[in-house]
Amino acid sequence: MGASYVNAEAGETELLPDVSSINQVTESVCRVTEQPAPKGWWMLFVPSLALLGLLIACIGYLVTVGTGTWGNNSPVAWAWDITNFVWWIGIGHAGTLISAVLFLFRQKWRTSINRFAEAMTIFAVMCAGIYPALHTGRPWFDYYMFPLPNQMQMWPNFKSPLMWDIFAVSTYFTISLLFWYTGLIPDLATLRDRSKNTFRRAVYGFFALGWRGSNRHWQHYERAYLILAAISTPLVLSVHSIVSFDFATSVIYGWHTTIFPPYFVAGAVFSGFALVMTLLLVTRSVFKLYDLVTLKHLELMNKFILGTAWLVGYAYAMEFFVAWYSGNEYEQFVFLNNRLNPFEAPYWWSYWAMVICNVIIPQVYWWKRMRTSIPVMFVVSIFVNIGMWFERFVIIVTSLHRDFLPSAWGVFHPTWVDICMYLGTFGLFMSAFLLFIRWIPMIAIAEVKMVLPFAQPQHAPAVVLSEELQDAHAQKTALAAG
Amino acid sequence: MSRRKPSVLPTTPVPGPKVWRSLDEKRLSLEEVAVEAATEQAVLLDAADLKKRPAAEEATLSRRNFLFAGGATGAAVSLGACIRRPEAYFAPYAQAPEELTPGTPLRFATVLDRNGDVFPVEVETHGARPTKVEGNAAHPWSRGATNLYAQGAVLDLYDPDRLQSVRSQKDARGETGPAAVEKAREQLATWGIEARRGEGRGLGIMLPPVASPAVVSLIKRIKASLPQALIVRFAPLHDESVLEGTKVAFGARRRPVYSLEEARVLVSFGADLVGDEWAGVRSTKGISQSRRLGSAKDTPPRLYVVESDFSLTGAYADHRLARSDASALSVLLALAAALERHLDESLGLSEVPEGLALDPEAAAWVPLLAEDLAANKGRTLVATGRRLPAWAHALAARINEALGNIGKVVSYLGATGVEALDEVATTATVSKSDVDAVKRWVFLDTDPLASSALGSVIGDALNEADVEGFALSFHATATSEKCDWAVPLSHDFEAWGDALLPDGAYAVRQPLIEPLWSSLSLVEGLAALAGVTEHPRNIVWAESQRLLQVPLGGDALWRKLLARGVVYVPLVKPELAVDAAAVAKSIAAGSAKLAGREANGSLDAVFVADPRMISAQSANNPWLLELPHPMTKVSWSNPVSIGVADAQRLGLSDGDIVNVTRGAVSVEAAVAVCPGVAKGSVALSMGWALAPKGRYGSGHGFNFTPLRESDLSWCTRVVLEPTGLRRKLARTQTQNTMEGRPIAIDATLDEYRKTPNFPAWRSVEFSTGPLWKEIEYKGHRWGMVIDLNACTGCNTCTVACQAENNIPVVGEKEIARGRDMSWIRIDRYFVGDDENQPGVALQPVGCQHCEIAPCENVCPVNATVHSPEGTNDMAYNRCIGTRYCMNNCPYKVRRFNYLDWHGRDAGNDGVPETKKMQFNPDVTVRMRGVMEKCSYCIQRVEAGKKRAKLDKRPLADGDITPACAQACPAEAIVFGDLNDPRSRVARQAAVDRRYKLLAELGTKPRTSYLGRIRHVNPALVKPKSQDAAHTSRGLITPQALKRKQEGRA
Repeated sequence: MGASYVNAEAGETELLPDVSSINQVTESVCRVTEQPAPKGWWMLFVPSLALLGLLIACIGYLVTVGTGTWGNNSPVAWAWDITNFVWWIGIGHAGTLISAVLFLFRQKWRTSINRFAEAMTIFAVMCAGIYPALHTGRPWFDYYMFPLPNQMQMWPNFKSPLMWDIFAVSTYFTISLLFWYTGLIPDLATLRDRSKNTFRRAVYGFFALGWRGSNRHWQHYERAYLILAAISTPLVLSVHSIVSFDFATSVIYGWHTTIFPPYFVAGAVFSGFALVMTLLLVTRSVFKLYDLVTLKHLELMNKFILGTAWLVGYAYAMEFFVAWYSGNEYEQFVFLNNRLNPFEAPYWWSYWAMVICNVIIPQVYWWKRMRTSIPVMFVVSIFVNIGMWFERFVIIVTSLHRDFLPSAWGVFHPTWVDICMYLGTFGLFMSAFLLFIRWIPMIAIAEVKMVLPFAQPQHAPAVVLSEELQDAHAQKTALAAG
Repeated sequence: MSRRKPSVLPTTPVPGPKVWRSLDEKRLSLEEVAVEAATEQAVLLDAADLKKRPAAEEATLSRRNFLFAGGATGAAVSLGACIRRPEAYFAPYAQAPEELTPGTPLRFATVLDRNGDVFPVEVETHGARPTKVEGNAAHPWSRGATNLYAQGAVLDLYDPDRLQSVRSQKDARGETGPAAVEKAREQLATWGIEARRGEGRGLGIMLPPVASPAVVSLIKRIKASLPQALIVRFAPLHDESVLEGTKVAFGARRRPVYSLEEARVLVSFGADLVGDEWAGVRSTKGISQSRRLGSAKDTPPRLYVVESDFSLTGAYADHRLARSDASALSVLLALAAALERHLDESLGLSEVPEGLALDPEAAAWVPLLAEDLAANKGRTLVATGRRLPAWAHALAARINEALGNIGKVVSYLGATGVEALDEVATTATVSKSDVDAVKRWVFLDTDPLASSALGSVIGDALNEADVEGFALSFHATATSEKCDWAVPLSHDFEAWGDALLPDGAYAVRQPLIEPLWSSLSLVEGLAALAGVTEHPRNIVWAESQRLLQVPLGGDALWRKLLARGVVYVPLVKPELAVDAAAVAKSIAAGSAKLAGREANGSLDAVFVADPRMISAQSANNPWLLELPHPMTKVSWSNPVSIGVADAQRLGLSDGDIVNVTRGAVSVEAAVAVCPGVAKGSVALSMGWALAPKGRYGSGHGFNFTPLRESDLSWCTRVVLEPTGLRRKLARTQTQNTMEGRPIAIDATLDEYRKTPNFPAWRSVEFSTGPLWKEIEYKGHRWGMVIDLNACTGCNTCTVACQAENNIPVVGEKEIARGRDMSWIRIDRYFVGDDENQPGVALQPVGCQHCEIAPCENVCPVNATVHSPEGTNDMAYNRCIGTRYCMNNCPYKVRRFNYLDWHGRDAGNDGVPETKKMQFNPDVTVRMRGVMEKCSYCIQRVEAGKKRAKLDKRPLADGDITPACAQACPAEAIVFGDLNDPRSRVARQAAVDRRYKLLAELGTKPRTSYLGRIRHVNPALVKPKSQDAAHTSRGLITPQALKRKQEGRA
């Protein structure tokens, strides 16, 4: 890839010091899909599948009986549904950020984790999509939201941020999927070429789109990848900005604030990195990928987490400043009473949980020892995920439950359907994710190879690169001899 | 599916193969063919013998049979899965009845009567189904307004758990149909005939104190032929002490009839004038008339209230003193004494015992009250509530006479109906021996076992083998269950009857629908006993003729009377002079008892009317059950109301279950802390848990009747013992204060005069100019103005809206979850610093129909849109239920069908067929998943426009009235075209104290409010907390401003 071998500096060889040959990359990644699944995989997959079943059952119940099976009420018309939606969408952001933005910024360390993060994006957006689709009272009429010409002369309301959401999220999903798939093509071809049975070869071959690794293929591929990265990059900013418009454009204090778009994006990146971290640590140890995902990768990610923690912390502080500076009593009430006040507000604990998880706990990453300690980073990543869930809960529920007219105030309590559906989305996410790591190269083989020192032109071809390159090299030599 | 026959080989030997593959085969001998055929046949025979084979061998199923069976099963399963709708047929009119245009409702005048409280109504019927009750505009006591009872009556009619069958023996199965009812009627007639032999000895009749002249005549007839029969009138909420008090004062039972529009100063001692007190609608109409101030030049009346519970009148008051009923009597006596000095006239207090000390606050009140009353002679009122003893009513009459109010603000007019009859006993005067003498009980629309203190005595009597009971009952009640005969009672909308009010307003009740289940009316029941065989219509007709003193010979006059529903009949004008000596004697006797009272750690329990459960017929009415109590805001229950101080002292909090104990009697009930209930008092509201078999009512609320010493007792001493259990109260409003926000804005009269537009200073209009060209509404511009100074918070609008707009009920559990569906709700805020004696601010809130509606731009599917006339409309068909609009509504008036509310029907399965009959066909019945809200009764708007168009005239102001405005007895809600400068709404919108709710948001609501004015007595306002006493943080007063500045500095 153009990005990879422009600067073959000494610093970059340190990226994967334990990789001694190009073939080692192919071997260790492809091995996962070719050998029987390890016990750990099954131990995760079976409960995930059970949770997926729970999700399907809950959805059936929800659609049959109604939205009232959730705890939503008046004034809290959105609660866990939209909280979970925003949370899942936010998680997806790390994938796009790592694959597209870091790609454009030539951050070579991303190659070990980008595939992984992109897959996470796709599955997280799938989980997120469930909520807006099913939070409606009559989900069978959801298609009214699409601008489909019809005999009833109905047309959606393009002034509604929910409409923007539909376009933003569906665009995001499509582009992410394309980006992910494009990146997969050379690796699928590798798997095809290594296949030992016809079926496997046929399936991988089908998805490899006839990739032969020719120079022209590589040129087209890299151009496409670059274009998709360029399209994805603004999406990182736009999707969560638009999701935040659902709140920012409303009249409800606690929602109605201009800081939301950057605040949401920072939060999304923050939570996305945290979930990548959680999953990466597990996968790395289950599939023994220590040489490809090194401590250096993890430390870099932790630095990101620390940085974004400060960004969200700044946003939290800014909200209070604006509430004070605006002189608006309703807005001040939302922040000082609904969120902060442990004596009067029923949800004060959620605000404090958010601050502790998102701002205070990540501060441990100021110390290198903490940044490089696997148990610490695992625990912190879990806390950040919890904190970011609470952030969305705080924004949505605490703003709604006590708004303008005190007569209409009320409290929301989740029902078992709320809880089971949320657990169920984990089932969907994990099932999809486990299938992905089992059957698809979870690390971008081709890209990792490109950042290896052996792949650089100044290296003598002492080490055999890969089969394709080997062939090319042989041809070249033959041509030179001829 | 046709079943193909399996190809059976011929059973007879065939001469040879018809088909051959080779010549050899063709040459096969005939013998061989025969052998082959025989084998085939043997196989077939075996097949026929299958049944005889052992079961194990049957298991071999042929492919064909398998497919056949599988197909059949599949077909059966898929058929079963299909919803087969019940077959129903339209019965088209062969000859359409005149006057009936399908789709156009008809209106009939009739009259409701709840224990003598008369509600003249007009009922809208669609295809002969009564669907909506309105007040009878022709009747001066209603002028088109209604109350909760009248609004709920139409649902009572369709109550699915009404008694539907006649049961002639205990524990027997009921029979339905006219024949069964005829049998019951014959039974009553037989009892009547048999009783006549013994001059009525052994016969007991219990009936409610209705105001029906027809009933009175029948009772007189019965009494004439059965002089020894025991006839008892009974209502749990009665006005016997009022009647007794007026009897002392005037020598005959009189009703105080108020004309409150004349009053300048009113003092109420526990009289819920604008609430459940007799003729509450009339009183509300009167007082609200002078409270709807047109400008700061007008002066509203000043209302003082002394009461123990927190009633609507207490909330309406300018000054309220929360004192127990006993203390209220002391205040009354002290006031009378003060007035004696002011008026220099004896009010008969010479023998009042000394030592009725008043607490300092009350003592400060008395001289000021007396001064105020004396200064406004002839334009004042001293009103006493039904809970006070007779002598208090007599004293009030004497005070009113001395103040010159009689004939102006109050007239004491002769009681009408059953309560005027001396020959009818009350449950309080009936002794155990009287009950024991009765061998045959006839309970007409009364349920003494559940709601009378005499209930246990009667219940014991009914247990005796030789005592028979006959109950004409609306529900299966405690009483009807104990009787041999339980016979369904007709609803007022199914029956003939009449009602006479003390001022001579006579209303005729006509049936609007055939009885849904064969039943008898009160008139029919009494007629059977009296041996009158005439049709009830003729009985009423004859009664009308007698009262009108005009021959009703022709049909025309009678029809006119029925159509109008009301006529004034000449009555003898009663003498209005008070017998001062009798009053003095009565005061002396009554007040003597007062002195001996002492507290011993127990509480005064006062039995109060629950504004929702005024009639036992409503005990299973889900609209009224779900309606929140105006003060506690608890729905689906009637917890014990207790003041803040007592609750703290006893360590009780909301929802605690306590044992309310009087002596050996104990009732387990929940507690609701209600600021403003007098210290030392708890309020027990009556009328709940009276329909034990009702699917809505049973299991909700508490029946406090056992705590009552006698039916005349309104107050008893009880002890509350916490049980340690708790129960979540289903409240529709959980926050009691305004949090200092400018919401329900009020001011004192002085402040109003200084700053007439005071609310606009608090709820400041959005001042930034529009970003784009605003829509001009050139045609109609519908709007609504709600006068907070007139609104009493009675909730009638809420139920009227529910009836008009097919709003579902959700049940207690869902209310507790915060999913109430009312399109217009009454917000109640407590104001003031004193938790024990707070003020109250009430505010009806429905959709504000914002011109710049936050709900509209967030809906992704354009389901809520603006009409060219500026109303914010819902397109239910388009709504997919994202609830974004609900979130973005600053007023939180949008209601979401979280579940299939109609289908669930408050926790029951399916809407009962009868309840469906109430649905208004002009309004969609919303399905689950759809948002709904106030539409300004768009169906009425369109109908009004259509009518005007058909009449070829411009739409006039008043052609269109939404259900809430129409029902409002205080005329607080005015609706109309803001573009028409002469319309009432435009004039109201021009009133200086108008403001828009949350105006600063710039939503430009079409509904606006007129701030409440508290006509406080400056001498009674403590300077220290002037702003706090009346408005809490709700008003900027100079003091408050100063304090605020000091606080900031």
